[in-house]
Amino acid sequence: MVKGVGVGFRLDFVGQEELVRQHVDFLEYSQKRALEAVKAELGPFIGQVPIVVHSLNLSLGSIEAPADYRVEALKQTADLVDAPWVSEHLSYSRSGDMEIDNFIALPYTDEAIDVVVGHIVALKQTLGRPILLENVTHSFVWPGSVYTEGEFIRRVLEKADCGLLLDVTNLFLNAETIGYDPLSFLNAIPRDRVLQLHVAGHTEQNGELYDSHVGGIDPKVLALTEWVMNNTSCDAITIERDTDMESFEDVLQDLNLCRAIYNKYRNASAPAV
Amino acid sequence: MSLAEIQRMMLKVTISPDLSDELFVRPEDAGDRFGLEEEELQAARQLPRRVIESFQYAVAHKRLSKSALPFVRRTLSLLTYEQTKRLTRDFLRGRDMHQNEWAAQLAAFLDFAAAQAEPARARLFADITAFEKWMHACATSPATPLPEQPGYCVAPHVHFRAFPYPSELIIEERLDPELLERHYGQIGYVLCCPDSGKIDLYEIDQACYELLSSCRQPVAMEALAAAADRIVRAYALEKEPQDMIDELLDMNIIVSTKGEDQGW
Ligand SMILES: [Fe+2]
Ligand SMILES: [Fe+2]
Repeated sequence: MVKGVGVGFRLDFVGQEELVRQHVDFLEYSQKRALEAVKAELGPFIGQVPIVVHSLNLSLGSIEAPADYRVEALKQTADLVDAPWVSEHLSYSRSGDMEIDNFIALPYTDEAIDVVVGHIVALKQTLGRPILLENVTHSFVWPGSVYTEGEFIRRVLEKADCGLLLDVTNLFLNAETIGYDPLSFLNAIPRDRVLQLHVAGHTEQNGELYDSHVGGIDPKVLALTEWVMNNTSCDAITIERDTDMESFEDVLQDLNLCRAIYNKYRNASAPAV
Repeated sequence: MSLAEIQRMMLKVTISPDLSDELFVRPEDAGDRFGLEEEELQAARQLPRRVIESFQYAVAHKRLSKSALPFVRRTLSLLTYEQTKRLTRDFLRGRDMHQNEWAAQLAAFLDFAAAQAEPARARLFADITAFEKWMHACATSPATPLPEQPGYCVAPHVHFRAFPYPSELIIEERLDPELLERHYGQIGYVLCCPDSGKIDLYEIDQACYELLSSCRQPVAMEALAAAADRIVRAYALEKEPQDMIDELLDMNIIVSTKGEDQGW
């Protein structure tokens, strides 16, 4: 099972397998389409360290079901690494022939709940593994929502019987951008459904906040992470890092911050390094 | 409004500055186009305009970063964030990309950036966009086979060119416009070696440029040696002409075509 402190896999880790295994309890792998590429990248880690799979392009919130070839590719990766769970975003990015690489928040309505739940249940069945949904950053939501974001997510999780991959940085950024209390969001989420966390540094550019996955996690994000570890049964913290990185050592500082929080609330034996 | 309609509209809005302008400036037209009821139109208009425009840029930028960013970085580094955002949104008018078509639109985007430059920066933009278009052409041109003709020539995957700026200034990804303007006219020489989607740029000197220019097509070693000899004298280089050739052969920048792989 996956527990402890993990990090999003980066190609920069290749050649540093020993160091990675020494410092992380699990890896999170962002799905790639070609199985050969997955094998080539993850080869030395498979069977050595637990790997969860993170998918980005299923657009589970779209009216149209995800393309079979994408689901099949995801299944192949999940089977290859024997992933304890697979995560995807609670959002949409596709309509008809239009597709973008960004996530759009669903309107918080019953129709949206029914649509996304239908796709999650089907995906769970195909993959034969638990599914986690991740909360995305958003700067706007279609007017006419009948639920708050937290309430909407709770309903989706319960109806689809799946877990939450709580991106704490995304929650923090949304709370700042939209202007709501992150704790009221957190209080709406069933505590036993928070199964994995994402934390990352963010940036501010021209007055707008971006989930840029840089190094250096904001103290307010760390404080929220502490709240979550203290108040939910979540047992897995993951650091996401897309920039400021040339080798695994670059992520050690953030890893130690998260390790300290994890040890404080989960009494783990693995020492902070 | 059904979820299907909301999604169709939202996707269209995120890729189309024309539509978002219409929505906020001439809502009746957008209403007609999307068959929106008055109530639905009101809902769409409640979306924050500035936020939607930033999101459009974020969508374009993410697509660019997936396919073509290495080929526009220098041009965009000459602009502020707001200028880049405006340029990108203006370029997208009339070109709704339902999928990521940036790789195919790249040359048009660079031409557009050059055409939009303020007059005082027109020359700089023309030169830098030309440089990035060249890089892109190097990276995307199909691999050419070695010429049949026996001899020595520049390897088919190697490209080189002269530009009116010192090469160390333009191979940087973030450009300094003042510095570039100041050194305009100082010819720089750049070697470009695309490698499976990535692109490597190297500064070369004028002597190297001239030697490479002497063997764009296969030449006999005697001719290449004569060119190296002339170049070494002309620039009073402290190296043997043959060493100059051997270095380039060792790095696979100059290669022998069939029939000339022995000797020397
Ligand atoms: Fe994610
Ligand atoms: Fe995340």
